[in-house]
Amino acid sequence: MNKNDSKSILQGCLSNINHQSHLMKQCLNDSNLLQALKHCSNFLNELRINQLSPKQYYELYIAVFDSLDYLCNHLLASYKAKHKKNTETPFLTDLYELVQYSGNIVPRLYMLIAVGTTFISTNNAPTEAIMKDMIEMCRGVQNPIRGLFLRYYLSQRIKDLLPIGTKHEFDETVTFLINNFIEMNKLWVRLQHQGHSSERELRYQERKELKILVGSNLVRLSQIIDDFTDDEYSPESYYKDHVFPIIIEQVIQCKDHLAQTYLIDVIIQIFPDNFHFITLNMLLNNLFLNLNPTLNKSELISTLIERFINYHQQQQDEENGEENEKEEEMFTSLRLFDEFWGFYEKLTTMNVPLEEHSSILQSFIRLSLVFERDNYENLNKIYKFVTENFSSEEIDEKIWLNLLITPIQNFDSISSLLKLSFFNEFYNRISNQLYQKQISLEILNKLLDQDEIVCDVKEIDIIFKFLLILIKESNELNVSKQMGIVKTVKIENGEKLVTNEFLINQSNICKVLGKINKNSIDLFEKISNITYVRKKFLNKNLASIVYTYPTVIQLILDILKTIGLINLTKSGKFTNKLINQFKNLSIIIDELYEHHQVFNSQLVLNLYLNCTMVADQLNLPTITFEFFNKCFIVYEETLMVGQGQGSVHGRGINPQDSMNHNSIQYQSILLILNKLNFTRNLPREDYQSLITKLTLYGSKLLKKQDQCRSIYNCGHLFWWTETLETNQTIELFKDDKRVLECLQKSLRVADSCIDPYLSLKLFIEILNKCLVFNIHGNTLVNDNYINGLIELIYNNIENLNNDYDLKDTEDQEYRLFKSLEEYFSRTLQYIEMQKEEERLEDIVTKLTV
Amino acid sequence: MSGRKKTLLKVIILGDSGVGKTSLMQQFVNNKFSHQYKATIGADFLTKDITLDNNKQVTLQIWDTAGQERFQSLGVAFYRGADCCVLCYDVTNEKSLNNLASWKDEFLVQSNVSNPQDFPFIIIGNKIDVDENKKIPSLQKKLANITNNQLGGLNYPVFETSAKDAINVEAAFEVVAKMALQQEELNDANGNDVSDDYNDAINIHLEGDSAGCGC
Repeated sequence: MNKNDSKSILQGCLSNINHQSHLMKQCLNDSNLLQALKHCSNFLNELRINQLSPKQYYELYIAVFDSLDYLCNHLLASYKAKHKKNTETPFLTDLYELVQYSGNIVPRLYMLIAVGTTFISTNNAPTEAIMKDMIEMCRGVQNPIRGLFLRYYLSQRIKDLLPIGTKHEFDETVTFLINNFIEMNKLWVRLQHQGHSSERELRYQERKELKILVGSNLVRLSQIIDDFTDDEYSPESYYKDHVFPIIIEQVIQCKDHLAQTYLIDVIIQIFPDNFHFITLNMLLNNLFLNLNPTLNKSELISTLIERFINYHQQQQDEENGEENEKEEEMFTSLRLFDEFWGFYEKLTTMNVPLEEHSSILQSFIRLSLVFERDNYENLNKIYKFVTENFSSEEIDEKIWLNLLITPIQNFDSISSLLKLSFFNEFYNRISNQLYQKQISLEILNKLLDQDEIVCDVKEIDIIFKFLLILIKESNELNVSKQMGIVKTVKIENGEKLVTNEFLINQSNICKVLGKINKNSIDLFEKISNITYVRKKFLNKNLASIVYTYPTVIQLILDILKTIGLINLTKSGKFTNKLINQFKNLSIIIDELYEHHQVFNSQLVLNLYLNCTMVADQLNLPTITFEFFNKCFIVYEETLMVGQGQGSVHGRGINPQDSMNHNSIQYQSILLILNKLNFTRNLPREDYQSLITKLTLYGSKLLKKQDQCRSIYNCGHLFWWTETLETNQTIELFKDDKRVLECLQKSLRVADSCIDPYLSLKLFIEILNKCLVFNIHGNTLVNDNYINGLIELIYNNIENLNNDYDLKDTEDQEYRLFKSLEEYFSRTLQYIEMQKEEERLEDIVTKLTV
Repeated sequence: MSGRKKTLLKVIILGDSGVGKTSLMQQFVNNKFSHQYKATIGADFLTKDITLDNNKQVTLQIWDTAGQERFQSLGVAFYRGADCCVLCYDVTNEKSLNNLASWKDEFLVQSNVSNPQDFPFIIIGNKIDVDENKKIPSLQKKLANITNNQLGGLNYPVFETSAKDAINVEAAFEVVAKMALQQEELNDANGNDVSDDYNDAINIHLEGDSAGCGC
């Protein structure tokens, strides 16, 4: 039958019900009871229909229910009126008999229940007898759908009237409800086997819709067990002894897949947690083990465990009543996990699909994590079991993956988890790289959540063993495969692509490094830990050390600085220890340099330079000297020949600009110069040899402007102006002759430039330098010298000025010239200001011609 | 005998699983509260007689529903003939707040009420007894966003209740009853049950939402 047909049938039924119930109401208002009952019987006849789906039948039921409700209210009101006149009125007794003359059984029984329950509600009826009679009479309807709704009607009508005043009444009521449940369950299960076998799926769907009718009995049971009070009554034990066994017997015996799944779900959901705690053993071992063998138990187990977990969390949230404490005690002594495990061991003797094992065990892990946070043994038990009982071929790794991931996410201490021997064993059996990586990432994230990772070398081994896959991960992408799919970052002059994800992972590994024993006060141990990680793990992928080594180096350097500053006054043996550490550090940088000099030499240079600074501050001149030499090596080997950093290529270089876009060689010289300039503890000869060498490098640069600038900047290295540290008394290094030489040399270079504007620019820059040296007391760079330079600049400007007959403001050269003039005049203004403050003396700023 | 019949008002409580629909009803009807969570299976009602301000006696038939779909297998035929609908959320559960609109839509689609524009809804935020730090952050703002949204918004009276501590439950249901009664009278004016099908719905604007906010 198609949908539209059944829809129109439904509409027909509904309007008939409406019509008849309207007539019934009219008759009732006219006090014509018999006629009213006839109309009532008429609309109830609609419930005898066969062609409707359960959902549609439910619509009829609701309509009928409302109309019957009207009738019942009316009957009750009539009864009350009659009862006022005569307390012995037989009105409802008679009516209860009368409706049984109705021709068809369905209308008859609905009316019987309507009148019967109304009668009970008067509190003047033989309740027990009526209840027994009604429930017996219901047996008369054996059509499943009609029978189920009829019994549902009975249970709905009677729910507020169920007698529980005395223990006897309570027992009777429970029997009544259980009886109704058993009968409804039978009807429901039987429906599956009705009709042609081709309609099996349809029957199954219908039964699925009808399930809540059956479940409603259990809801009432649960309510009644809650509501009853008696001195010697304990709801839990009553449930355990008188309700639970009967229900589960029904569940087991029906052998029906749907019924078992649904009813167990309902039992778990509607009875309180403490009921489940005390019946857990029976629930698992008597019920779950005896279910239909094809039934998947994992979902039921998970529902039960989730319920316990919610309960536990709720308990922890509240933690205020004494009542709660009592219950808490109850289930810790119960040892939930053991209970479940015992059950599982029995279950495994049966033929259970692998997916089932996986999800059941996952639920167990959740349970253990919530109830016994610190009990690692439970987990070990699970991993051990899996490792021992499932061969590698059997393992569909994906479904087992969560067994490893869930505890990582939930455990407080990751290292205690990783220590579990069977966790490792299990992990090792996962051969899919992707899954391994997924696990590693989870561990990495978990580590990042921690403020500090407290661990010894053994634990480092354990943790990094799991991170190794991320360390070893290749940063090279198969470009054609990945292009357009994954966001990539270009590195190494655009020759290589890496994913964002790769870079993030590398940086996260670095963050983990920083957390290792972060707050420990044993600083040497901290260093040895970090060195250990580097030696044992990080250098397993030399292509990636460029991402991690800088962190390693900087971490060690920071610690060395702290150690050194704390122990600055110590000497001898301690100094040797410190020196050794620096030597080790140098080895690490060397390794980085060895493998990454092509693109990352400047990075290496910076690392060496950082070391020189710390070494100098700790007054370790030999180390400082060595590190500067390393810098020079890097410079000579790679940077001088233009290697070592990719990004400058192809950018336009403005020779006028003294700050930006200069050659990598010039940049490198400035970097070294800066550090040398802050070095204070080198022996004079060492220092002198270093700065001489650097100046020499400068003088050999390719471009005139780079040469010139390097040299005049190097002048600073020969003229210290301050000690840098307040309580230090060292002799300032001052060599006025060499300063002058530098300035002379740079002037010569500037003069030799072919570009007159560049020449002029450099002259003015040198003038500025001269002023600095003059102010800071270099008597060789005296007023005469400066005046000569100023005059030279004036001359140059005048020469250039003569070239400009047309003052074309659009002309680029002219604009450049103007800017140089401005630069010069600012310098002169500066001289005037300094003269006013008496820091400069006889410098002539006006043209004297 | 039949002249002064009590008016039966049908009220439907909707909302996500676990927001406390059953607890609200139990607190209102039986003055009981249980810490134990029991899922609701299917739908069932409780009735309670109350007397409104104007001495009017009404019977509230309050339908408690299953928040979990798997426990609502027979459909929602019981929505029909409802006079008021209570939309519940949990003040500690933002998702339940955001789902209010879909519960409302689902109700209007399924119940086939004659005046969807003016059908009386009321919003109840339950569990206000819990610690402040567990509540949805900036709840009032989010709630205002939901209720003030002019496009299909839920501009209905809001009550914040605690079924556990019986805070505001009575007050909320009193407003429910008044609104339901108004709806019932409106339906009566539009024609009685039998001719339902033939009547065009006449929209009569209710006099605003006189109930106001109870918090």
